[in-house]
This record gives sequence, structure tokens and C-alpha cells, in this order.
Amino acid sequence: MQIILETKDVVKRYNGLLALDNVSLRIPEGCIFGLIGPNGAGKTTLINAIISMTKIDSGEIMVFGQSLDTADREFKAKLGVVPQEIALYDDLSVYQNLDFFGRLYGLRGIKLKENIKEALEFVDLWERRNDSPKRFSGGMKRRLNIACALVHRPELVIMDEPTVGIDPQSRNHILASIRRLNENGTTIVYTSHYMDEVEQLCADIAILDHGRVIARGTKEQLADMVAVEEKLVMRLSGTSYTLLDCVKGVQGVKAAKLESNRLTVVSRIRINNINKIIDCVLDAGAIIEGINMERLTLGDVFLTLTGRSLRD
Amino acid sequence: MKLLTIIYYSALRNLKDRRMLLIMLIMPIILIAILGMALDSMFAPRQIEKSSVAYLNADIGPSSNQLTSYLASEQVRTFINVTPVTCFEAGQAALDSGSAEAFIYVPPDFSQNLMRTEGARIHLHTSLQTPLIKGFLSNYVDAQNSALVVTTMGAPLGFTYHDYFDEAAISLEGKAPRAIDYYSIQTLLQVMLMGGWYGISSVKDDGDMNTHVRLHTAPISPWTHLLGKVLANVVVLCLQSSVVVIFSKYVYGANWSGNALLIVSTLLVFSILTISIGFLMGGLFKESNKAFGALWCLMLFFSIIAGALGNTDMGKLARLSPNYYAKTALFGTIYGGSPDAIHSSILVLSLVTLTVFTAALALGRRITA
Repeated sequence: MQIILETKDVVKRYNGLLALDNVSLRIPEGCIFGLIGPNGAGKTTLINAIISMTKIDSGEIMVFGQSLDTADREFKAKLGVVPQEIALYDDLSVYQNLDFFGRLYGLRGIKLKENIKEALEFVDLWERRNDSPKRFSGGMKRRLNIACALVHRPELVIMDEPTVGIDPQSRNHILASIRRLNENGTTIVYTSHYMDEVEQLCADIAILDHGRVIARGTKEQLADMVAVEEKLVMRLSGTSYTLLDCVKGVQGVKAAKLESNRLTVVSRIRINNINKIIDCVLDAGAIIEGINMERLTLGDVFLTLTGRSLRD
Repeated sequence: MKLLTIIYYSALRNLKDRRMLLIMLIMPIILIAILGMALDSMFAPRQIEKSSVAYLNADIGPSSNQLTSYLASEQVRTFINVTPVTCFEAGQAALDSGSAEAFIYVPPDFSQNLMRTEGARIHLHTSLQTPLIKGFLSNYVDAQNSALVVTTMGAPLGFTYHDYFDEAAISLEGKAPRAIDYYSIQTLLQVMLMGGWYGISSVKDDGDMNTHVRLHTAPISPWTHLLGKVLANVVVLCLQSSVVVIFSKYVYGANWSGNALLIVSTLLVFSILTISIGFLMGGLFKESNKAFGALWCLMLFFSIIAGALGNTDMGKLARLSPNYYAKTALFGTIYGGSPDAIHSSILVLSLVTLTVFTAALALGRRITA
């Protein structure tokens, strides 16, 4: 798959503080790439460097196969940016905002009108096109913020925490829109504080901390990096304490406990001993009413790798 | 086309700013009416004081005797004190010492030249505007020429007077502006300085609204962006000035006659200057409020020293204010002032504008880059 965005050993310092420390990433075309990290990890610095708002001290950034140092201005036409802060003209209507930004990308006439309609329908704001964004809720402004970045149909969209501070309904709407956008072939670089969003959306994730990429992979790969055990929880009826001895004897099981009707078994990972544990339960005459394999969430992985939660 | 887009939308945003519309349109219209009526008495014509003139008739012939008699007539003496002097140096000394406002000199060959084709000359030396003296002298010359034409039946003979001005300034005496005329110009210039706010907004707005990220990532050059904003602001300011001019002219009857091209040019240059000052303030101060405060102080200073508190003369201090040059050019154009004074005022204003504009572009380019 073609690489649409690549950073090679990017270094950026602010007054001696290392904001980006040899960041190297390769982002293939057509994916939703998640970039996560706690505050001050360097996410926004990296994004600003990619959109050439910030000059890097060393390294190289390639967008659409062109180095940012030598790329002509026209490469920007293929790039869309959804800034973290809402970036709209409050004194212009919704339509005028899109018309203005569309024209800056050289769109004119019917093409411009079509694109504006498409972008506004995409974020479900077409009916409100003549309204002023002043009257909009935070969620609607966020949606318009996205539409402004999409009006010129970019191939690569960089979204810097596009769902900050909005209600769950608007958030779900935005996430669904992003998925559709990606299905239509747009590559997306997505940063968020919300782990569940990144888990839901991103096939490929990088964790940034102290300006360095400390982990990179799919959600499962990241989990595997830090997981040393897994937890099996069963809801039972007709339990007997004798089953605990059987379960504890299964290969790989590190601990087992039975509390009321709930059996919790902790095993080493990749042992594949579930069948044997189930056999123990059934042999003890218990009935399995529910079974759940608790896997590490991205939040757990993040916490393990960085030693702090995402909002720290 | 992208430049036009920036001009159009920047101008549209400016015109949607109701607070600024209030300041730029409603405020001057009200102020002109209030000041024009309240201070009308300050501009009422004052009693004309007698002018003093030194006079030397060195003509060896008889033709100039009529001028001597004319200057001694009751009609002239009512307005002019004519003091004969014995030599040219004495006349010049009277002029230099200020005891005479003007020195009328009839050269020795006056009568002799009267019969020649080049004509005879009466010399008027003065460093002041002396419309009264010039008026009497012109009347005399016109009358004598008419008489000569009749007696010589069209022969190319006659005489003229020639005046020597050391300095020309705007002539307010005789056809002085009324309060409404004065404050139409003065208030307009004062309010136009507030147009600098558009410049400040242009520098600050995109940062405040975070749209600078979008503009930076759009395929447009920072120069296009900056130039678009400057032009949009100038267009809006000129539009607003035109509304005030038209309103004060047709509703209040303020005098805006004169060379329209010079008036428009002066207002255009002044618009560019005020917008550039705004860009400078926006670049120099981090916060919009501080930039606006600085602009406000500057506006007050410029307006006061240029005579905004009344038709006061602040002397050379006034020359520090761009309003002074715009005012001089406008009053000169409307009230028939010296073309030299008008042109030099516009020239100084243009040079100041060019300097501030260049500085504003350099600073603005750094900010919008």
C-alpha cells in the first residue's frame, strides 16, 4: 500500500525542551491512523509540523511523496485539517464559511456548490446552511469545523481531537461520519483523548509520549505488547467449591476465585486453556449462564506503557 | 481570483460588524450635526480689520498718478491704510518689520511700458494672504485696462499687477467655511482614523478565531492573504467615507465642492494610511484591546493637534498629525487654496502613508506567514 504520510527522525525543540524526539511514522493510504498521547506528549507539535505550521529542527516529513521542504503550495489542496479549536467565522453563515474556504482551494461554480452541499450533508448541516454558527451548539460547531476541512475533498485529513467537549450524540454522529469518510477512500490521521474513539475508529495506532513514539500497531498488537495475563469471568448457577481445585489445576491458571455465582480465573496469555476450564465447571455440575473474556483495553495499554492516564 | 475571494469576504465581514458601522457611520453623522450647530458662532465672519500697505510710486511718467489718487480715495482708505515710502528699501523694511502687510511698488518705467506691447506692471510684495489689497488692486487694473481698450481700440497695450508671494496658504478669509463645513471634514478624518480598527481586526481575528490554521494550510500565499485584507479594509473605509461625505453634503448642506479627484485621492490615501496604522498596531500589540487602546490614543492625539477641538492653530505641532495634511489638502481643494499647498500636503501624506504601509506589510507578512 502506498505511503501517504511519512515522518523520518523528526526532531523539534522548544527552548531546549525536546517536543519531538526522532519521530518516525509511515502512514499508508486509506487507513484511519490514531495518534494518542497524554497532554504535552507532542501530538499537536507533530501535527503542526505535518501541516507546516511549525518548522522542525531536523528530520524530514513527506506528504504525498513530496518532502515538505521542497513541496509546492499545491500539495496543500490535497490536505484537509480539522483543528482542535473550532476555526470558523462566526459572522459568516454556514454556507459562506464553506464557500470562502472552498474558493481558497480554487473551487468555483457548480463544482463548488456541489462540494459545499456534499460537505454539509455529510455532517448533517445542509438544512442549517443559512444560519450563523453563533447560534450553534458545541456539537454542531464541531461538525461544521469538519465540513470546512472537507469542502475541497482532500485525500488526507488530519483531525486534531475533533470531538473535544461535545455531547455523546454529536460525538457518535461525528465518529460515524469519519468512518464513512474513510470508506470513501480518505486517509485520516486522528488524535483524541478518548481511548474508546481510537479503539473504535483506528486500525493503526501510535502512542506518543515525551515526544517519542513508544508503541505502534493495531489495537491487539498493542495489547499483546503489555499483556502478561488474561482474565476469564463466568456467571454460574449450581456452583460447588470443588470446581476451584479443578480450575486451579489447569495449565496456565495463575489464580481462581469464586464469589457468589461469579468465577474469576486469571491465566497466562496465549495458553488456550478455556476448554479445560469449562470442562472443570461442567464436571462440577455447575451451569454456565454467562462467560466473558476480559481483554486489556487501549486505556490499560496506555497506562502500562506511559505510566499515566491519557488525560494526565 | 483567490485575492478577490479574500477581498470580498473580508469586506463583507467588516460591513457586518454593527459596532464599527455605528462608529464609522452613525457617530460622524451625529457629531457633524452637533458640532456644526453648537459651534456655528465660532465660525461666524468677523469684522474686517484695516490692512496697512506701504506704497512707492517710482514712475517717472504721469500714468501712475491715477493709482496714487485711487489709493488715496475714500473707498480704498476705508479698508486700507496706505503709507507712502521714499525708496524701495523702506518699503521692504516695512514689510519685514510687519508694519505693512504688503508693499505696492510702481517701477520707474511704468508709464513708458504702458505704451509698449509687453505692458506695465504694478508690483505687490507680501508674505501674507491679502485678498482685500489684491481685490482693490485687481479692480483698479481691470478698470484701467478697460479704459485703455476703449481709447486705443484694441491695441495690445495695458498694464497688470504682479504679486510676489513668499508663501501660499489656504485662504479662509472672505469665503471661510461654516462650522458644518469645517466639522464635516474634521470629523470625517477623525473617524476615518478609527478605521484602523479594521486593520487591527485583520491581524488579530484569524488568530482569535483559529482560522489562521485553515488559511495557513490553504494553497494561497501569505502575500495574497495580506493584500486581500488590506484592500478589503480600504474599500470598506472609502465606502463609509463616501456615505458620510454624501450625507453631510446633501442633508446638512456641507461644502464638498472643488476638485472631486483631489478630494477622492486625499481620502483614498488617508484610508490606506489609517488601515496601515491599524495593521501596525495589531502587529505591535499582542492583545486586540491594547492595540485598540493605542489606536484610540493616537487618534485623539492626531485629532487634537490637527484642530479637532475647534478651528485652532497648533502651529508646527499640527504637522505631526496626518490629519493636518489631509485637512489642508481638503480645505485647500474646497476653498480655493494654493495648489502648491494642496499638492505638497498630498505629497507629504502619500509619503507618510507609503512608509507606514510598507512597515505594516512587513509586520503583517510576518504575522500571517
